[in-house]
Amino acid sequence: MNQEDPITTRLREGDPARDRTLGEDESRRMRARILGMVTDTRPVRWHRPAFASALLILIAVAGWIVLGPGSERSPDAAIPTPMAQAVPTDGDAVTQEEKTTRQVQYTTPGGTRVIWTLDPDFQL
Amino acid sequence: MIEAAFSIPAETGTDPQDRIGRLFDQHHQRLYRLALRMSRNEEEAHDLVQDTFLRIAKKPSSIPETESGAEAWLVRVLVNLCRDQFRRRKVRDDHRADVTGTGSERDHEEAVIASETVRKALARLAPRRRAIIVMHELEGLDAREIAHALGVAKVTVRWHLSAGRKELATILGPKGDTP
Repeated sequence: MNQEDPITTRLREGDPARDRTLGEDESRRMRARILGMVTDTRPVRWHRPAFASALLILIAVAGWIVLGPGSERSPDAAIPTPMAQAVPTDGDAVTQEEKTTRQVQYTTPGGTRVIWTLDPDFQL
Repeated sequence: MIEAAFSIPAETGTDPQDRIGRLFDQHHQRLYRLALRMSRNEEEAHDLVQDTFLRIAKKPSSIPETESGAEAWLVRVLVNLCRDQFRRRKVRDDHRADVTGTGSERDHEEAVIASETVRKALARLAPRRRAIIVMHELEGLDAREIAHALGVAKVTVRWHLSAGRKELATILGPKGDTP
């Protein structure tokens, strides 16, 4: 910047902000006013404990469906994933007391889908 | 889904109030001085600074992540507020009056008169040009820094500097002369 430039010199001599600052009290008041208007726009995040609890409950329910009373498993069967579910053999919604056969479906860790049909009347 | 739920947020613990409070503490004086040079009086300068911070308070997500980016952002918001004011008030028409002020003002100290003269002369410039002149001549920033602060090209800064200085030379006239 050319220090001897007349325009620069005049502007600096007449600088409206020379030696000026916002007073301490006024700064404090302004700060409080501004912070009172702050809008928290951060996205809502899942709370880890709540989500972990929900996940455990889901796994427990799935496990009960697969491993609960009435389901038969071969010792050699792959460990079922939480996706395992018991379904009726046909598409109709019927109670377990009325049906003699049940199906157990699950997916192995390798991705193979296994469907067991459990028929107490089955004979070789 | 599990990964997303357990991912750590990018700004863990960055409360918007804390961030804006820090920005205020770091930059409000600089913005006040800029506002004094950009506006017609102290009250207007005060409102400009406050409105600048209020604007970012309403939308904290718009603040750039880096400190230098945040400072430039604040300057830009202040200059844009000046531009809005300028358009609303059609300042050019109001400032066709004698730049050197009235007779009663000549009774004041010379420094006050000089300050008022410069303030009124700067007010005759369009806000962006005014901001560029102020930042270069009074804050000592170079063209690159001004371009970054205002989000414009360096060539635009140089053009406004050249045109602004010519305009001020016409408005202010030779020192000691009354236009």
